[in-house]
Amino acid sequence: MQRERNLPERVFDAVLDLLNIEKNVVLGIAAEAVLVSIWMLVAFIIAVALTVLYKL
Amino acid sequence: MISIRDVLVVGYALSRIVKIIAVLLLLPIPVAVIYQEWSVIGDFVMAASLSYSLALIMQIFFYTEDDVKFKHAMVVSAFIWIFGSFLAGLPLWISGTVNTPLDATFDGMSAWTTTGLTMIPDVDHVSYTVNFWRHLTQFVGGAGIVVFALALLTRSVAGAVRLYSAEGREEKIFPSITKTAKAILGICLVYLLFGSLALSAVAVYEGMPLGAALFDGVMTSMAGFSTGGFSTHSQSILFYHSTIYELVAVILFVAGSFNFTLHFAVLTGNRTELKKNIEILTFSITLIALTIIIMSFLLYFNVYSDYVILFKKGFFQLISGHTTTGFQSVNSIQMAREWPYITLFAVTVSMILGACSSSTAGGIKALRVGLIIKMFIYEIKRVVLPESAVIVEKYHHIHPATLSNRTARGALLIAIGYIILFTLGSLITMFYGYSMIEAMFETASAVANTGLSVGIANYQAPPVIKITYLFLMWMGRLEIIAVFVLVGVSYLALKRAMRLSIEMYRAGEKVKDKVVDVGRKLEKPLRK
Repeated sequence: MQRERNLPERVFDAVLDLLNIEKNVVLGIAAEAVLVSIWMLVAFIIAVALTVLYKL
Repeated sequence: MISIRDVLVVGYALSRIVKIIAVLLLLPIPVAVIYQEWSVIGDFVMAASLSYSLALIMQIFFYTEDDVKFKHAMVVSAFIWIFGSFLAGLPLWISGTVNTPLDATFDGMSAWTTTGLTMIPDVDHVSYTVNFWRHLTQFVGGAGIVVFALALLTRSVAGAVRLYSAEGREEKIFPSITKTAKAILGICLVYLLFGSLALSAVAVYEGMPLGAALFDGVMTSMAGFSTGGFSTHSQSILFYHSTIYELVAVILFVAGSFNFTLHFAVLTGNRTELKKNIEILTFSITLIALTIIIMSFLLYFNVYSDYVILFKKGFFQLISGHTTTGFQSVNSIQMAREWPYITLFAVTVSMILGACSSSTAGGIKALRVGLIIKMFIYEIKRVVLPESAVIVEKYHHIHPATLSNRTARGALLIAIGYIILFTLGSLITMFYGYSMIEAMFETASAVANTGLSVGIANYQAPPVIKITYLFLMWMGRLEIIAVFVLVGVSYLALKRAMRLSIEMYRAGEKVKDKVVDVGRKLEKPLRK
């Protein structure tokens, strides 16, 4: 039996239906965005670490 | 051998693409109507009709029913950028946005090759319509080159193809060209939609009026996803003074610099590919190494002392260079004056390395860099390990693969080609009195289709530099090999033309002799 979907999920699916985009595509874009965010986070940590080291 | 037939096929194929450009030239007209810029409509109509007439003349002149083969595709791809640049620059010239036809062609080339250097003296006061056209050509150029690279140029028909893709394998999403093109267009449009919405929302949040935010959002997404780097403002991304705006733009142009087959793998659910892919690994390593270099020296020389600004300026400029985008969060002149040489050099290296193959990015590309590193590892292993050892170097790029000699040679050849072009360009720039680091930076920016600038490539630059960069952008975008093919083909064509003319001359001589003979024979009885 199919699990009953909650409201955010239904809204999400409805929006995707409206735009005619597959769910996978959005998740893929999210995965790529996460990767880029990780890079940015690493770069930010490097910036903080270097600044702290330099100021010490 | 080159025959007249080949010339016809190339000319006919070119005429069809010129026709497409003519239709594209009509697309900005609705924008002109929306913003009530009536005078610009005429410029675009004139440019479109000129292009269409040219296409028709070419179609009549070169009419043929022969099919386009691989060698033709190479020549067409080499020629169309020059043709296209001139045509794309036409409305800019006619509307007076740029000063000379050379500047217009430069801007056209910069747009199609997704570079982002511009010859427009006053970017902030360019009409909406012309701005839309500039960004549209970048977006189409970005998507177009990928379609071309994937659908046409990576069919393993000849050895040159393997060279071109620097990989022993075909790289296509679908077996048919039209399906691949559609898939790529789909990916581009989805990203454009998401990017425009996100950027507009951020701009509105930061206090921009809705209309301007929407227009800038769409333009920045087009220039960002195509890793082009044009902007509606002379200050580029710095204009918005918004960290969130910059972060969204980073996500967008990094996405554009990813390999499209990788996109497709990820978008169809194969998300582990992001962790294993040799391109992503190479890109991550070079990105982090260069980040450390740039940030530590910016700190050491006290250019920026705060880590937030360090991240905003240092990292943004680096990733903008590494993905060959060219959005600037630091003013070009400021960058040239304030940044230490070593950081400028690091950005130069990042530009030359470039992002992923089969993407909208330029440069040597991470796949080739990764393969070259693998080759070095292989050679080291061969020296260190006993002679009887069987060494196999493996890598993962959509599918697992083994490094072959041929693949490695292809990658190395293109890398060397880039370095030669880079050296030549730098030398020419230095000849005009610019410092070595500035010359290297600007040349790398042109040859890797980046668009970051330290202020050399502008409308006041000497024409020789403009022409040099024009050709560097062209050759960089074609990954050099197509240019070699073009040179080879032109040489063969010239040789054949010479031989033909010599034969014709000799035939003419013979006819002349015969005519003279006949004349004499006729003359004799008359004299008698």
